[in-house]
Amino acid sequence: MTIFINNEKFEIFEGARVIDAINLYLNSNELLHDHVVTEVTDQYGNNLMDKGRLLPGAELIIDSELA
Amino acid sequence: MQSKFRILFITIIINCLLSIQLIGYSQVNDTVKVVVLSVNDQHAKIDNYGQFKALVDKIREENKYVLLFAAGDNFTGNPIVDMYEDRGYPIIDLMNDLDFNATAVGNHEFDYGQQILAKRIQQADFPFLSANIKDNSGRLKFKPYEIIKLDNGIKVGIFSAIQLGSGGIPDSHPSNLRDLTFTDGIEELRKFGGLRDSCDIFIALTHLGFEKDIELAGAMPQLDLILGGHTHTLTKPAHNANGVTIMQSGSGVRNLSKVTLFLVNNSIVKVMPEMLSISSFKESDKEINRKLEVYNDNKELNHVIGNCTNKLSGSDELGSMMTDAVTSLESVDIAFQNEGGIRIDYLNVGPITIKDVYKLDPFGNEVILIKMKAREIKSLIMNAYKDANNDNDLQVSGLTYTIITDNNKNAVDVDMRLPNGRKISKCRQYNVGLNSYIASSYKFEHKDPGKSLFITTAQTLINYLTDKKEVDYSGVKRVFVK
Repeated sequence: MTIFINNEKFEIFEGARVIDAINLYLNSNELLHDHVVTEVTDQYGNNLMDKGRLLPGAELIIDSELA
Repeated sequence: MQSKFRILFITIIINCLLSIQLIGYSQVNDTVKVVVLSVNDQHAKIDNYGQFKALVDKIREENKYVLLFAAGDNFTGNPIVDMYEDRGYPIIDLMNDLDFNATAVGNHEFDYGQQILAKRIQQADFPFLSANIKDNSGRLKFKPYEIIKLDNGIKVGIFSAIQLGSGGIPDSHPSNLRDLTFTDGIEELRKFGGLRDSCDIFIALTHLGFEKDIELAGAMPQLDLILGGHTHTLTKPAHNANGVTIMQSGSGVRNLSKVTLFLVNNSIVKVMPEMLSISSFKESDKEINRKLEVYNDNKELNHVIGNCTNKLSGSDELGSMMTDAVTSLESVDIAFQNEGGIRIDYLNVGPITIKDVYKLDPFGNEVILIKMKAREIKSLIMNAYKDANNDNDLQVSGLTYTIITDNNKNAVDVDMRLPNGRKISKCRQYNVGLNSYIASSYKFEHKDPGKSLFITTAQTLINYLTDKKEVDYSGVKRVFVK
């Protein structure tokens, strides 16, 4: 299914959770090993928890910083 | 005469003031407050229930009319509850102690199987609601709605629906959903729109996901509130769509949605949403805490599920067992397990407990099924080898493979063989089971984006060991570098 992270389009498996989107985003930007995620929100500004399921078309904002 | 007039004038003024005060008093008395509380996606996290009970009790002390709901996914996420000898019993027991009024049926309600869900529904002092789950004969499997009549005559209507994935079923392993049919949640809820005329407060208690809740608000502006779940969204404190207040309180019993509704003549005149923190609430209920101590005594985690006939050590042996558990799922041909996800060095000879499984595989990764051709499987193996600095990273089941390297130890090819020794077919598509960490963070070619089987890798291992009873992986090696 298609989701959007920081306005970028990503394909991810169906049934993915927020944690999977975080891994996908960090890995695709080469940030997986040295960055930590500080906050994940949806396009409405609501916080999202790690194990939350993503719906197709979900739009996420992932904030991360150097560990 | 003048003084008589003065007395009359003062009396009239006093009467006027009293009348104004009485009118004011009557208006205050006519305003009724109804407080609606909700949690969602509790996922069996019982540890905050002492604080949860104390917080709800405080709100009940301060308010006459308080309702408490759960928006689904009460189960799955805490082995103390999930592996309790009567699976799921503790969370329903605690929800009964808190006097919940209703829960939505979430996708994880099916995780223990339908028979156990039926037991939990019997145990609960509150109804499980869903309008879009039917049995094979087309009859509704659950109560679609509930109308609660408060003792002041105010009627509160609550109805519910569950999320469906693209396969038309909720996010649960299909084996848990046999003999059930599912229809579109929003369409079904719309059929109950007429309930609006039978109640003063109209609430959708959904397990659809936040974006779908916004869609529902667009389709049903007659709703007062949508208390949702599934996406673990923490609204701040509420979202308004099409005039409908939408709330979700994250997950894991850390927060509580609170909406105070002010009604005059049984009509809502004001909606006041708040998001309260359960985890930082200072008070805690002692009786609940005593109960939690008993539940958390970890007896369930020491439950023996299998036996090791020889010591199992190293990632070859442990990884082979873990991946065999995944390929024991009927839809999986080949499975991979990454080195970093094998968290113990060995399993001693003797009994294997549930605790051992969670120590070995603590991350809560789910099994992701991806249809892959030989070329795509090869790209997974080669990239993983390269990213591990030319080291072996992926254990396997359903295959053995040899990474062919050049003089600089760089992988140049992979020889992949099926358990019968024959080469893997170049044309065939294989059902490959990966844990969700590999599926989301490893680079490899795959046309099929894949789908979750909605079962954790740890749970597949528990099922596998329970089924096999005895395992012996000493000397098992399926991955080679040449």
